[in-house]
This record gives sequence, structure tokens and C-alpha cells, in this order.
Amino acid sequence: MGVITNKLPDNVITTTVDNVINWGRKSSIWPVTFGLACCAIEMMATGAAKHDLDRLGIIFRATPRQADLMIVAGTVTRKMAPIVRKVWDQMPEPKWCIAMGSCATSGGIYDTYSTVQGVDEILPVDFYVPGCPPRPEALLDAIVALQKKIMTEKVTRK
Amino acid sequence: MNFSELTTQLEQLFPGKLNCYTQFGCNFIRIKDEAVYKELHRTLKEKFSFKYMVDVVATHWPKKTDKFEVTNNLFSIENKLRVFVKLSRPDHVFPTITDIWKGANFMEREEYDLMGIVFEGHPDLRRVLLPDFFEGHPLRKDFPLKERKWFNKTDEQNLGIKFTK
Repeated sequence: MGVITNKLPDNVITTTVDNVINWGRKSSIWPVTFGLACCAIEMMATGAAKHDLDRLGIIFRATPRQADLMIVAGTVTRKMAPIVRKVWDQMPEPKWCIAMGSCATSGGIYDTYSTVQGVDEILPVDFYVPGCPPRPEALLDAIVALQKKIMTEKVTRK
Repeated sequence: MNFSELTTQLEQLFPGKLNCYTQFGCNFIRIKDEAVYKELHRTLKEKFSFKYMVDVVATHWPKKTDKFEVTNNLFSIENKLRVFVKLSRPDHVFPTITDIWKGANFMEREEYDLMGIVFEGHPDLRRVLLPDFFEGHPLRKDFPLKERKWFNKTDEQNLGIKFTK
């Protein structure tokens, strides 16, 4: 900045394209509502008045086509697995995924004949939130970590 | 009408075929002769006002000679009386009660799905909870808990999913 100090007129700032696009993306993460079990209650609590996801620009969308984050909240069964994958495939790029709770991360206590042992068997996961179910603070922590991750991404080149 | 009055009347109608007893605060009717299974249920509904068929439960006893047991939970709203009608058999074939209570349809399908009980005379005995390509009946005691080989048996929506664990 030293070189260009006082060289620009008023109301002009300098930044990079990556920075401004990533800032826009991280400030308006729209997750698709995907509650599968009791974790969904905690996800709703995170979105409600006390923890208030809206202040981070997070607005739950009821369709994958308008979403760029999927919070898989709950147990993924074998019967549900193709449906989770289909919703993920319908989301436009860029997209991220948070596996919320021990069931979505690893199958949790359900080491059984019907439960998928972690949602990472069917789609790529960016952040894992442990807990059964995780407190809203833990989910918020994952979202803040995701925001930091988004800021490091390169938009103009892969 | 309370349970002891019901017991006396049932003993007259089905002498020696039933074992009625109260245990843990619940009323049980154990059927000793399975030939009266249908007739007993019909009598309970039409004569003793057991119009509400609450649940159908199946139990697997792998070490007993009578390996399978079906318990029908019946309730009489008029008399505020609940009875559990039990029948044990060495194999997994039982008579249906869907022609007496239509609500038993899905409950018997569930028992077929998870426990492998075949209800003879059921109008539509298909799986109700598990996918159609599932093999076996997972609530039987001899079913391995972590049996996940069937996960990769079919890719029903052609999404290319492969399960590894």
C-alpha cells in the first residue's frame, strides 16, 4: 500500500478478484435443509433466535438448486444414501458439505446392517462436527471454519 | 367387564384351549391349540368389543422348540381392557388377522419384513421398511448385526455409489 498511498481519489479501494468474490461467498452461505435425525433439531436451534445464523448471512433454502452448503444432520441409512447423493448432485458449484454429528461423520453408535458408516462414503465432506448431537456452538464453529476455508480458495484459477 | 369375567366366559367358549393369566400387571391369553386362533380373535372382536387392534409383535426364541411367537395387542375401548393374545409355533408360518382387523395389514407386513413371519392369507405381504433388494430378516437373533454386504448389491438410482465400510 505504501506506493499508492494518496495516489487514488476518494471512494476507491484496491483488492483482488479472489478476495472480493470469496468475501461475497462466505457472507452468504445458503445451506440446503437436510435434517435426517435428532441433529436436525440442533441445526434448527442454531438457526433460531438465540444463535441466529441469519447474522452470518446464512439462510436455509428448501431447494438444492439455490444452495451452496449441505449440512448433513443425522443418521444416513442405506435406503436414504442415494437420495442424499442426488440432492448433492443437484447443487450448483461451488458447494461445500458439513457432516454434523457422530452418525453423519462415522455411523456413530449405529454400527449396524442398515446405516452408512459416515456420509463421506457417498459425497466429499469439508468439515466434520463431532457430538451426539453437537451443540449449536459446535456447528457455528464449523461454519466459521468453513468461512475461513472459503477465503483461501482461488476463484480465477483452479 | 374385567379380565377375570372375560377369562370365565372364554373358558366356557374354548374349554382347555386357552391359558389366561395376569403377569406384570398385563393380561395375557396364551393359545394352546392354534386351530382356535382365528375363531378366538373373531369372538374377542365381535362378542367382547375388542375393536381396537393396537399392535402385532413377533418374538424370536432361537433356543426354544417353539421358535416364533406372535403377540397381538388388543384393546377394548368400551371396557377399558387390554389383552395380549399369544401364539407360539416351531416355524415362521402364522394365520393372518387382516380379515378381522384391516389395520393389521401394515403391522403384519412389518413383522414379515423384519422377522420373516409369513402370515397366511395376508392380501399383500411385501417388505414395508427395508428396500426390496434386502435379503434376510434382520431382527432374527441369528442375523449378523453388522451385515452390510447388501449395500453394494445394487445401485438402484445409477449414481455410481460404492460403499467400502
